[in-house]
Amino acid sequence: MHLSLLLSLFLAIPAFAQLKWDTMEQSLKSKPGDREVVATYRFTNTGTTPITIDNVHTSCGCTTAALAKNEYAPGESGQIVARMDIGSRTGHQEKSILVTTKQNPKTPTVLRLIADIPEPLVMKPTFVMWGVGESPKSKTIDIKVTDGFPIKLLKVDSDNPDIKVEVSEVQPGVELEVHVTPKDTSRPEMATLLIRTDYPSDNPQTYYAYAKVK
Amino acid sequence: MTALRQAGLILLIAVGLAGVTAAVHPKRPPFLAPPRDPNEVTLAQAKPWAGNILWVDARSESEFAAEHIPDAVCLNFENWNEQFPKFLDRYSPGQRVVVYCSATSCQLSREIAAKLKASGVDGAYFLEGGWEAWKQQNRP
Amino acid sequence: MEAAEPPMSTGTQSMASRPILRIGRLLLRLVIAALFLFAAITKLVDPSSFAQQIANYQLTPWAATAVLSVFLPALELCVGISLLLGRWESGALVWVAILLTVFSGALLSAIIRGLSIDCGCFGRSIENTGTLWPLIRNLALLVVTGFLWFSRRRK
Repeated sequence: MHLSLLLSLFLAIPAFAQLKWDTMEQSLKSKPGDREVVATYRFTNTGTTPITIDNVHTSCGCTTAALAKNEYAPGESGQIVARMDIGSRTGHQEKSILVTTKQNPKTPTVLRLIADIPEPLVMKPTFVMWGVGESPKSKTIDIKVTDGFPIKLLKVDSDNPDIKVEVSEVQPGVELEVHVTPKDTSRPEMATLLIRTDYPSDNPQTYYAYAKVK
Repeated sequence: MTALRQAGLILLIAVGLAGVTAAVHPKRPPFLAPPRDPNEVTLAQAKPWAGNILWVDARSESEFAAEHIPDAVCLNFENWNEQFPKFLDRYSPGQRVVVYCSATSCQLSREIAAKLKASGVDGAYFLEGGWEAWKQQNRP
Repeated sequence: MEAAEPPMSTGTQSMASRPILRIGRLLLRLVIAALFLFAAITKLVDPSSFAQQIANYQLTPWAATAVLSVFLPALELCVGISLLLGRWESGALVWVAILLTVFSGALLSAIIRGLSIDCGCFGRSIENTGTLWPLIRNLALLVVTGFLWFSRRRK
């Protein structure tokens, strides 16, 4: 018996999945102002029997995965469209999508969505606070554009006239020091500081910082 | 030489090799205790902070609405801009902020705690075991 | 160190004398050697992160995990080299069988216990990397190991 050859062959066989995926991992970059990252995963049923996809589960509530239908005949193709809500996430994000079929429930496919969400500017800190009765000395928020990012800081405004902002430019458009001063700290006050930029040109983003007397 | 003897010799060599690795490898694991993130706290560690603690729930608003740690404030990536001012309403500098999400396997609490720290909240930590751990300890 | 091997044609299993089976046998031995060497090297590059992977199975206390993170790859390396060179093959096969059984047991335990995915975010859990295929592969390797063991040249 050519047992050894048979066994060699057995080892070489990859996973029994009938679904062949164009790609199981996608890396995407987003732009400031983008609300979501979208990745499409195409697959084909390369087996000789129909496949039923009965569960698509994402690793995060922020990611949805849409499938047009569940049954795929032999030879038929389909796709899963994954959308990751960016929200206030920044930096490197990795999310997974687990696809389970009725025919192979114990061997789900794991699709990966890797997103790089840029942080165009860094604010340190993002809020300043005074206690009621505390001396109304000015506090500073430092805003710096990430190296090489094509964004310019245009203007900083306070939405509350009782909390004033004064901007000193460390480097015009690139690094600003925002000096925040409350008129007085006799009672609770709240201001949202709006940092206006010019990027992206079709949808310039405004960033927020906060000042509070409490 | 019997198979057993050979196996024994292989074992000896492997132990020697392991010893050398443990001694000199730049990426060797710490042997005394598992590496801990300094911002991670257990329920036991957070206990003495009661009275000066602000719980932050990093889960979705629907999960928060269903049940949450009493007096917790909801703060997640989806609604950060709307929720952060509400967080600031509750927060006072000097308070310990402990972020939790559903369970140990969930990374959201770590990420939200990191974002809070970057925003200027000095005492921002995340809870080991998350909501699951708290529920276990607070239900008879 | 070893006694002289008996000539192929006398008395030992008729299996060992058929060329196609000897080639198949050699191939399988080299495949297992390659698998173990590859496994050993990838783990020896970063024992700290391998320790974290062992910890994820939640089967061992930290001290044991740390020790295993250096000992297991060292053992895999020795076994791989032994099988590659064809020296101390019997001893190596004993370890292959033990290691495969232990790994399969750990994988099985992980599958049975499952991991909490309440919030739907499962970070770097085992389910991310797939547990069933490695289990099937290990069991297949055990079968192959058995074959190599029973067909080995005896003194």
